Amino acid sequence: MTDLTHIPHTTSNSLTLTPEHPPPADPSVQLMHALTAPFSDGDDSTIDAVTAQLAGALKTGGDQSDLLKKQALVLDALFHRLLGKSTATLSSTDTHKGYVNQDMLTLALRSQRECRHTVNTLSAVERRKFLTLLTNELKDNKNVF
Amino acid sequence: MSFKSKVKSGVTSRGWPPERRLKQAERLKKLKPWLRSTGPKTRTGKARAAQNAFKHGGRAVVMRKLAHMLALHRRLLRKIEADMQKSEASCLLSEFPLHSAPNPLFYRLL
Repeated sequence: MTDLTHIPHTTSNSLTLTPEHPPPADPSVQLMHALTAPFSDGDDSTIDAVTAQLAGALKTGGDQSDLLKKQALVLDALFHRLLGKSTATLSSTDTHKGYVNQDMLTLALRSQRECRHTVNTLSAVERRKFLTLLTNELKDNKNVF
Repeated sequence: MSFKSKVKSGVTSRGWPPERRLKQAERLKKLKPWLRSTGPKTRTGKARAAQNAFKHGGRAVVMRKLAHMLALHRRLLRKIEADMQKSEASCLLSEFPLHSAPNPLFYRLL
């Protein structure tokens, strides 16, 4: 049976922070570090920073591929962390054996759905870039084939 | 005896009035129940008792913030998709559907 209390590392171990490698300035990457680190739940301020970044992107618009790539990784890490926590919070005790925190599990599955949606959108964005390039080449009467 | 207290705004709130809280605090300081505590001794027992007041955690600050972040993310995705629909490449996207096999001409580009 799969041990759901185990929190898998979705990214490589090279992400472990050491004094030589201080946390990066980007809030999305910071949150990902916090979510993949073994005994850390991250900081509220990091989540606030990511939220502010998203709100800024929503206002400015434009090409958000880089942000989406980071967000996909963050959401994947969030899914794994919440999935682990939803079962590990109380199920370690005798009286609550087998207990699953439904709210946490719902949020975990929601983050997984958003992650899938993000990757879908990213692929569409990349495809659109390619097609725009192709359209421009065709307009210039270049033999792209 | 009613435990409802009136705050300045005139709204009746549930809970103990300040006088009762003070009286209870004095009583507890006098009785010192923690000296006769029969609570959990082991680490497992303490961990279990620490969750006594825990109901679901769904309204914790972190959970609400994460839910807000996910909602914003969803809005951003919708906006990007709407922008893509408007763009001139959308007509070509209909010819090259996202989840279908690419046009054979595509392979000639590789």
